[in-house]
Amino acid sequence: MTRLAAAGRPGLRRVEQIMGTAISLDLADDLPAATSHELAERTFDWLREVDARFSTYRDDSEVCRLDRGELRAVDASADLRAVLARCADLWTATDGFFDAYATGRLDPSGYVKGWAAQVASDRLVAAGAPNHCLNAGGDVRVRGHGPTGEPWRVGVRHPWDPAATCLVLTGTDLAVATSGVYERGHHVVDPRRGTPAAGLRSVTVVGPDLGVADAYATAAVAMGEPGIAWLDRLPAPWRHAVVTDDARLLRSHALPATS
Amino acid sequence: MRRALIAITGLAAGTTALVVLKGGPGAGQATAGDVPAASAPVAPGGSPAPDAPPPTAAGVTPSAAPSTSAKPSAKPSADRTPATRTSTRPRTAPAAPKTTTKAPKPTTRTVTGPTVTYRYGSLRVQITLSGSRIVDATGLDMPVGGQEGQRADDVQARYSGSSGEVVAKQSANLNTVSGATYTSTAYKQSLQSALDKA
Amino acid sequence: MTYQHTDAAGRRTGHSAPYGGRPAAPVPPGRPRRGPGGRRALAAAFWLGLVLAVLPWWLATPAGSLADTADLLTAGGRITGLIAGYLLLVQVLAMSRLGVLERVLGGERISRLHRDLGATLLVAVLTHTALLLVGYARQERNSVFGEVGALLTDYDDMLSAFVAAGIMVVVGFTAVRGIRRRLPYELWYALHLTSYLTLLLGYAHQFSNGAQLYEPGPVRTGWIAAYLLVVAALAWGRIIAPLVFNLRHKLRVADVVAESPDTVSVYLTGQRLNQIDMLGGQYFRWRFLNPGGWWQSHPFSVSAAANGRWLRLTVKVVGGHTADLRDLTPGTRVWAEGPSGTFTAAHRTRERALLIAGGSGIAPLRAMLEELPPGAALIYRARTPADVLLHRELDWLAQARQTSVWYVIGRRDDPGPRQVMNPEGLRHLVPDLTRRDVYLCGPGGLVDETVRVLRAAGVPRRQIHLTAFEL
Repeated sequence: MTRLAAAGRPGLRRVEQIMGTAISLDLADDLPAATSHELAERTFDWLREVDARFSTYRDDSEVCRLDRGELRAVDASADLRAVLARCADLWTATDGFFDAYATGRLDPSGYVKGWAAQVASDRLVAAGAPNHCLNAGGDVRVRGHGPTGEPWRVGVRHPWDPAATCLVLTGTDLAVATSGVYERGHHVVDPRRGTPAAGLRSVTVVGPDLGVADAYATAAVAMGEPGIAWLDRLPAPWRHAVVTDDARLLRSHALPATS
Repeated sequence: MRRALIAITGLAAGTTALVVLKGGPGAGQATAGDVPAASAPVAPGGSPAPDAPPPTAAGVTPSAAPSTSAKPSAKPSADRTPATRTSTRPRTAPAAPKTTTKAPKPTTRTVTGPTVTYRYGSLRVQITLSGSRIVDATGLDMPVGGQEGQRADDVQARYSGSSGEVVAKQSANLNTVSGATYTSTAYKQSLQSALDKA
Repeated sequence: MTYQHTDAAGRRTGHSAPYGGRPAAPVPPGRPRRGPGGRRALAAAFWLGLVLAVLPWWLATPAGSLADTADLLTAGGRITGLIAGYLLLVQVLAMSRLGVLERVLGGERISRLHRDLGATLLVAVLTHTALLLVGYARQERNSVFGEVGALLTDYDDMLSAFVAAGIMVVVGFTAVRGIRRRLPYELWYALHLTSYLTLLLGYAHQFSNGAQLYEPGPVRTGWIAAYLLVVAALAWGRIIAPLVFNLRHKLRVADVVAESPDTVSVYLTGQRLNQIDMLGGQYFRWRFLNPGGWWQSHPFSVSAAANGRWLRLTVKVVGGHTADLRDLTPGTRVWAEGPSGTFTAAHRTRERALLIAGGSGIAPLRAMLEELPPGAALIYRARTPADVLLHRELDWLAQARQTSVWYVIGRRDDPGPRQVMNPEGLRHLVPDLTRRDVYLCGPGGLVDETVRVLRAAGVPRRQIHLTAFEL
């Protein structure tokens, strides 16, 4: 058994339960303890704020009010307008497979989680913590180096074994999002047909932006087998790895994978 | 096997009883000498009767030992007597060991959640508190390395596809895992327990 | 090593959080109890059926009509015949694996019932044959052997009836423990399977020659209906229900994990596993559909409570079939029949329980632990620390479910086991022993010995629950 984050390492590691998932933050910079805690506090405050404003489970959230028509689009916050604009772009970019209205009402959660983590990560860099790893329920944004000075090592969950990984990515500036079917059954729905997606067991997208990566991964799973070709057509900084239902692993040549 | 013997005795006794009852008073006496073989089991059929109830006593263990003797010949007295036997112990023993409570709370302390076992691995969450505030949460025994390594061989055989690259499990020192919703559930569980303890 | 904490009679408890306060984990509410009500109802139905089976004879025979020995013998033959017919139906029903029976009576009780009923049935059939042969011979002033010839030639369907009786004798003979042990399992199994033929072969003579069943009327109709019901139950329990279950859940081997050098856990996945109504401690009969294993089915307990995602069986490798489990390929289809058994938390009579496991007998108890209310105790007997299975899960359960766990390591005569496995030792560990349900699972010798100790310690028989290790 490997012990993570033992005593004596620089930085801080913190986990909180926000947006219905576990969000872990690993700060690897050798900052004063008070500063690290302050940064972590700010990060989680931001994520909690996003949860309050964008959750579809809170009736008083901005998203719900907008959806009910209580809030006009022009009066929405800059963040929400930016999110909606990105969702619209993603809808086009994914041939409609990423759809913030797939459930019949406004639900941008598929983008918001990754976007919020991306923004949090950007803010950490700006605040002087360029070495960190933020994992928002499986969506990972890493920057700089880990506590040992090595580049961050991000495992990709094995689609059939939740305790194992099928791929390890290393890098100093990666947004890694994995979407999959896993044992809960097909929970990604093809928004155009309304049926569960099949063909792809898990899709990992690596790129510069976590929100977009998450949306791309979700869309590709919903596309099924044709999603592989679609991923291949994505422009340069985007890379991907796909596990098909028959257990083949396909990946971009440029994927920063090691073992 | 004891119950089978009781059942067989019951069968013999019951059959004999039925025949004798239907034989009528006149016929019964007339043939008494003729059928020693048939009337003989009547006597032993009576003796095991008190023996029989313990296993079958009034539904304690409703055994299906087919002792027909009790049926139409209706001799319930033998079956009834032991029915009320219950063993009661008035002595009350201490139910559970007492919990030891340490009252003074240190200013900074570390609480470790239980080891949460999820499908293959297990993990523990350790939280550090200052007063009632969490200042650090650390995953111990995170699922990297360890068990998976042992099963690498199985896994190779397991997910071999027809073409493309075989999905193999890898283990390495990881900082985090993408898409690991399951692990976060276990993490959550252990974290929650650690919080409860704190 | 994982076992470094284990020592003889070591103890783990999870009842207190270090700083007091709330228990370690929320404990879900227990499942509703399944008391002895079902068993009592079945017992009542059995006796009622027996009365109904003999009643036609009683009603059709005028009092005082049995004039001479021949009449008496014939009457005895008819009664035993009716009883035998009824017992055969009950016997087949008991073996039908009807879900209700499997869950109300449980495998251990059914197998005992099957054995006792089988012996009684055989005696009833032989008595029936003998009494009627002698009775008829007397009536017709014929020799017994002559009567056999007459029955075979002059009466319909008697040949098949004699064959049925012959099969019963052979099956009964081979079921005697000493003989059974000497026969190859396959031969014994094949012979035992032919006993279903008796249902078919013995059927016709009851109606063509049975005094009470010959005449068309309610008795004959009722008897035929009983036969049809039993055959329907057999078809349902043996074919339709398993077919539905397996088509529904499509179980497959997901992984095979070595728990110790001689124990493996087989993980199974499938569809709609959350819809399996399974209690911890119950077992399935498993058939692994690979070239070597499809033809044999073996009962193994599930070693984790229902979780909707996977099933797991933990099996000690003792050779033959169990050794093949090691080499199961993930993806192998699995045919399962069940769940069966009354060895569950729901069948307890008291609030608290004591579980005693020996070796791989921990499997059903481990699953049951998840469903017992807090305050349970587990005594785990194992020969060496390496034989302690699912060690970490047990420690975690101990913590989460406030269970006291004692690992009693060593051979029977080692100090640890000797100290614990006697009435005083058990009372010392579990002072309220007599007010607990005790669940026992392990090798036969250990179970017999422990039952003796428990009875000596004053635990009522009805609070001791056993599960058959190998049915």
